[in-house]
Amino acid sequence: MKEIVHVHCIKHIYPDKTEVSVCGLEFLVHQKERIAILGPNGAGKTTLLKHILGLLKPLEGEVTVFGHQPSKEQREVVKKIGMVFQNVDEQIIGPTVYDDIAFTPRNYGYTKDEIYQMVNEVSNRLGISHLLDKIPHYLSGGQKKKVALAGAMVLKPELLILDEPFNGLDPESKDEMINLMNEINHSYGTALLLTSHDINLLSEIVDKIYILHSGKIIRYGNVQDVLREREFLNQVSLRPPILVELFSRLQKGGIMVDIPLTISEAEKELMKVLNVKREVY
Amino acid sequence: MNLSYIDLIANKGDSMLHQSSAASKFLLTLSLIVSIILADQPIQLIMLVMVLLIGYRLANISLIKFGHYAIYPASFSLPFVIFKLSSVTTCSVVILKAVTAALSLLLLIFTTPYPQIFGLLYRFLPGVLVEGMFFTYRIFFILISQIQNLLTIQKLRGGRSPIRVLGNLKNLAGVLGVLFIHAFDLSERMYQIMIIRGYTGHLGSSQEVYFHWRDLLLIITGIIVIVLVVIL
Repeated sequence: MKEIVHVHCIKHIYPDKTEVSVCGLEFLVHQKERIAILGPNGAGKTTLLKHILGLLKPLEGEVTVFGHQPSKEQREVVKKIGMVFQNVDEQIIGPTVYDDIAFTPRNYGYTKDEIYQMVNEVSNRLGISHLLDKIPHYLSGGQKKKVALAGAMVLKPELLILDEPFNGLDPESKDEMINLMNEINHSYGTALLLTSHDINLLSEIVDKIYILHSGKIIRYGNVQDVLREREFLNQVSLRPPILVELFSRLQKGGIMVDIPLTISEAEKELMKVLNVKREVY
Repeated sequence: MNLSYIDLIANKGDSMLHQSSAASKFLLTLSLIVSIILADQPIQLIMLVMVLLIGYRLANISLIKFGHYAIYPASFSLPFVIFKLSSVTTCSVVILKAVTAALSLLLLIFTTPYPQIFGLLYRFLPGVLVEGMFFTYRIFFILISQIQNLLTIQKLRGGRSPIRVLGNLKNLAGVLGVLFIHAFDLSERMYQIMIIRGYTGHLGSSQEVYFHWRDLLLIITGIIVIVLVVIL
C-alpha cells in the first residue's frame, strides 16, 4: 500500500526551551492502515502529530505527508487530513452543527448544493442528521465528539487523526466511537492514526502500534503482538490491557492459556480451560 | 451577567417572540431605539416601557429575575443627572432613556438565538467583524466554565474568606491572571484548529432571513411606536 506519512528523526524546541525529539524507528503510515501511537505523558506524541499537521517545523529531521512537507505546504496536506482534537469544544467553530460541518468545504470553495450534499451524507453516516440545526454548546460530550468527527470527515480525507478520541466518553459512547471509526476506515478507506491511553480498547480499532518513550520510537508491530508484551509495556510506563495482565498471571500460575486481547477471545480461552477441567474430573 | 443562561432562554424559549424571525425582532428593536432617541417627555418613555413590558410578558421572561440588568445603565446615567442639576423632568427622561434602551436590547437578546443574530449581521456588516464577534461569543462559553472551575478550586483550597477582603482580592487577581494565560493558550489552539480546518477568512452561516405573519405584527408595532412617540 502507498505510503502517506513518513517521519524521520525529528527534533523541536518549544519557546520555553523544552526540547522534544521523536527519533528511533521510522514512523510510517500507509493508506487504509489503522495505527495507534502509545506512550506515557511527555513521550512526544503531540509533537509528532503537530509535525504531521504542519503546525510545527522540525529543526532536524524530515516529515513527508502525501509527498509534501507539511510545514511548507500545509494547505496541500491538511486538505487530505481530518483531525479530531482531544477537547472537541475548541474544535467546534460553527454557530450550528450544520455550519460547523460545512466549515471546511465552505473554505475550500465548494458550492452551496455540494456542501448541502456533503453535510447530509456525512451526518447520515454518523447518525447525527437530527442534530444539524442544533447549537453545539448544548450537545452532550458524545454528540460533540460525533459532530467533530463529521466536521473532520466531510471532505472524505485519506487520513483521520484522532487525539485521545475516548477522553471523557461514557462506555456506550466509546463503543459508538469505535464502531464509527471502523465504519469510516472500511467505507471511505480512510487511514486512522490515533493516540490513546485507553489501552484496553486498542485491539478493536487498530492493526499496528507505535510505542514512544522519552522521545524515541522504540517499538512498532501488530497490535496482537505488542499488547501481549506485558513486561515490555510495564518497563515503558504503560499498563498492559487488563486481560493480558490477568491471563499472564494465570499462565505464571501454571494454567495453560493463550493470552487474549478481547472479551470474546478470553471467553474462548476460559471455556477451553473449563472443558479441560471437566474432562479431568 | 449570566450570559449562558440568557443564551439558553433564547434557544429554548417557545413564545411568539422566540418564534419570530430575527429580522423582524431586529427591526422592532431598531424602532424602539429610534423612538427612545426621539422621545423628550417622560410620558413617551413610559409608553415605551409599557410596550416593552408587554413584550417581556409575551416572551415569558420574568422581569423580577432579569430586570436588574436594566438598572446598570440607569446607575451609569445617575452621575450625569446629578452633575447636570436639571429639572426633575429632564432627570427622569435621562434615566428612562437608559433603562428603555437596555430593556429593548435585552428583549432582542433574550428572544433570539445567536446564530440568527450573526446570520443577520452578515448581511450588512463586514464578515471579519461579525466573525470576530462570533468567536468572542463562542470562546466566552469555554472561558466561563474555566473561570467557574478556577473559582471553585480557589474556594475549596481556602482562597476565599469572608473576613480577609484584601487576601480575597489578591487571590482573585491570581485567578484572573491564570484565566488570561488560559485564554491566550486557547486562542492559539483555536487558531491552529482553524488553519487545519481550512479557514480562509469566511465562517459563513446557514441562517436564512424569513418572514411570517407574526413578523409583520412586530414590524407594524415598531412603526406604531414611532408614530405614537412623534404624536405625543
